[in-house]
Amino acid sequence: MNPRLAVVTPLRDERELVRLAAAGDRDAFEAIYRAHADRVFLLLTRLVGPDREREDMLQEVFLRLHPALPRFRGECTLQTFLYQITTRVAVDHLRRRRPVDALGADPEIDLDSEIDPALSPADQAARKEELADALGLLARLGPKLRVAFVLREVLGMSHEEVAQIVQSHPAAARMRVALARRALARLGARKDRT
Amino acid sequence: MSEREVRDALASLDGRLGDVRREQSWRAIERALDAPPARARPPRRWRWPVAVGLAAALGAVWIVVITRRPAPLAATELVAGAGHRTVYDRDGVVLTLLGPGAATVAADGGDDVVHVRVARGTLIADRAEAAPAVAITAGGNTTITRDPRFAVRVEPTTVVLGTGQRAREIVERHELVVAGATPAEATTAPTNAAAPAEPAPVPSVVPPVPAPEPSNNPVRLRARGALPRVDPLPASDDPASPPSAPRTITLPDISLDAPELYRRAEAALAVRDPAGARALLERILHEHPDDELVAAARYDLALLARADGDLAGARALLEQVLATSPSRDLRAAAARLHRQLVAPPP
Repeated sequence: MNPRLAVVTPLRDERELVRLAAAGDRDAFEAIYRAHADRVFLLLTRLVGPDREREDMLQEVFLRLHPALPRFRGECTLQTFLYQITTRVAVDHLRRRRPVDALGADPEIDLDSEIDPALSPADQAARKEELADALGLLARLGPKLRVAFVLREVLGMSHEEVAQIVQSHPAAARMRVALARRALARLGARKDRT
Repeated sequence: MSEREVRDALASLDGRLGDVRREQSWRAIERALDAPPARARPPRRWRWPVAVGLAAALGAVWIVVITRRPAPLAATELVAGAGHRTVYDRDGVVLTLLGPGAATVAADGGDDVVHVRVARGTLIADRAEAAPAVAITAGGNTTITRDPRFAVRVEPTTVVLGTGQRAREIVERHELVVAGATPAEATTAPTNAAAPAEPAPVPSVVPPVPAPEPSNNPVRLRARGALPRVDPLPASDDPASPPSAPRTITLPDISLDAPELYRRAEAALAVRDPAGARALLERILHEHPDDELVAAARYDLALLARADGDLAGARALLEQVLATSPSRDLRAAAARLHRQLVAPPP
């Protein structure tokens, strides 16, 4: 079967694409997918780490987007709308996932994929331990604090943007980031002492 | 490992999707979208006598169950005299009112929340794990809690909140002694497995307290232990005279540190209670004026003031942040917000 080519019209207005996709136009929905899939996958990676189920989660995001498009009224950008869905999918996944221990023993986390094979064995081991430690600390935060911390501190979004994505008040978003930072500082200090 | 190291580690993760995975994911999405809906099973043909019989049986069950369902709970007034306590429990939430006090538990509104308004006194709420949340209104503010233990003390000019260890401290200092009285119903003390173990308070010598008058209050009464530092009721020569003034019970101050207040403020916003959040943030300013969270609390109060339309108040708070905060990021954020508030409308 020949692969279908997406009818991608980069200059097509986003609202027009949404309107067509909501009406059932598969090509328009595919254009939306191709325009946003990479960003969604990056956000998922930052939120849940190198999880083996990221591709499944990516599909889940767009499968949730498809029936939600008719409800999208343009009160925010489509990217923000997608990020809202992405964070919800990530939070659901984090709640289902078993906690990662300090050695990264969770089989769902693929640390090896993050290790550059060109590094020396000692450097590879150090890199793996660094990632395992970071993910272990992050896993100790609740999903809401984790999401706020990643959006603000890792992806550099403003508090207003974070608030839009997590659908909360900007002050609450600020507080979650501050609480996450304090918790990580405390957990990190405690870990360093052991 | 520092917070910065965690951030850098996350930022270093390879988040590239790649062409192959992009295509594979799209095909999986297409397959899911193209999958036929689950085929509806053809309706069975029930023989009509069976259908009639089933309907009759269901109707009989409905009549028995619905008519026997207990009436929804009406509002309940709780009153406790000085030196007494009143206990009320519903659906795993145990409310203990320490007198002198008065509170009202609202009727069951079907929203899985126990609403209680405290007019005065100390109310301690103990929640079982699956029990409804408790919404406590006092001093014009409502706090919704899912903590296993929560306490509020209402005085004429002050509302003090406390939970966890502090609430347990209140309970321990106010165990009642009723000399010679038999408790209406012996119950075991509520346990709070989350509260840290504390040494038992040393009871002081307590003068005998006269047995309380029989109460018309329908809820259970409990009486346990010795109450330290309780003034005895002044004697009255005339039995028909009105009750003497309520005794003063010295309550410990419930103080929360700044991070706990900040966490509670965030929780208040999470349940759409900006007024509660504002009160908690203001407590940080008043009770912990030197804490590093003061500047952040001012900034958040400015956001709340802006949301309320109080632009002048918001600007004043931001100017304080600009003048006093040691955090460059926070000052930059405050400066941006201040410019937005000062700028004339387009």
